[in-house]
Amino acid sequence: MTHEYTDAHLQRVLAEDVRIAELGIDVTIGRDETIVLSGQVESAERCQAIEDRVREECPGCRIVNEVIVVSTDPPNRAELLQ
Amino acid sequence: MIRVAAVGDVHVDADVLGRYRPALESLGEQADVLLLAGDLTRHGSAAEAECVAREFGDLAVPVVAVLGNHDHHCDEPDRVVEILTDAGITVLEGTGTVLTCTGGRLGVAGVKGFGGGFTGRCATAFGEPEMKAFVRTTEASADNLREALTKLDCDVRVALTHYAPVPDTLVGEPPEIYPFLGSYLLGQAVDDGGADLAVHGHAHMGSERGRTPGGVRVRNVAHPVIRQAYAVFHVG
Repeated sequence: MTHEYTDAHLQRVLAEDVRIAELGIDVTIGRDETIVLSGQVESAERCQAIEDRVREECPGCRIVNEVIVVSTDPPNRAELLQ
Repeated sequence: MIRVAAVGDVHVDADVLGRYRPALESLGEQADVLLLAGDLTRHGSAAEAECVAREFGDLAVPVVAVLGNHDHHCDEPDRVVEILTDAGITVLEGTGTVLTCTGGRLGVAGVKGFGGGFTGRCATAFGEPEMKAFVRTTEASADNLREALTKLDCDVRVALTHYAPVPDTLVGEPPEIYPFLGSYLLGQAVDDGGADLAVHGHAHMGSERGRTPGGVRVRNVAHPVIRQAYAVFHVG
């Protein structure tokens, strides 16, 4: 499979596998075949689950996992809309 | 002035339980209402809806929600709505609600919405039945939003959707997927319905602020966009 098909395939797997169900993960494959994952999710467990699922699909590949967990801190200001 | 808190795309499941709760405990000091702009669950299961009910139920302010595309994946949106409703969350779909706040009456009309794209680059109800069904789904949703907004008897009127009513708040997303993120038909309904503010989610890589052609302020409150538990707007 060429890189173009691999990243499309991985993006669909991450969306359509209900154990993951993530539509906002960006998948890019570098010239050295490294798979770079980026995006924002709701828990550390999901960051790991995404990497594990990609590894299951592409065993032996080098994966750089840049997926982060979004903050749930309270807001420190309000926006005034008049 | 009415204080509106809002967040979308919280994608709650058991692993998220308790993450929002600390910020929500002080919500009553900051807002009169919390709006949830769809994608409340991970993939629309009853178990996930129960988690949403635990995380966003029993708050100091009323909670008003619409569902998103994720909340439909298990094909049981009615069950999701039932669980949320039992937890005291008002779920809108082509309907509206009016809340009496210290600063006046807040009306919220909501639909999930759907895609189709934006002026000059939008889908049309032409050709295959699947294409016509796609566009007509959005047309019906926009008509429902317009009607629900118009019926509200209130001082401040807010349109709540999951899909985006303008392209402004999609900036950051690949332009190729805009037709899957929203529709100008929703923006037209927001304008026709006389909204003071439109709030949506869905576009995780979009941007916060936009405006309809009629001048209504639009805010993308998708959690990955606002990067905090919720955003607060003082309206009116």
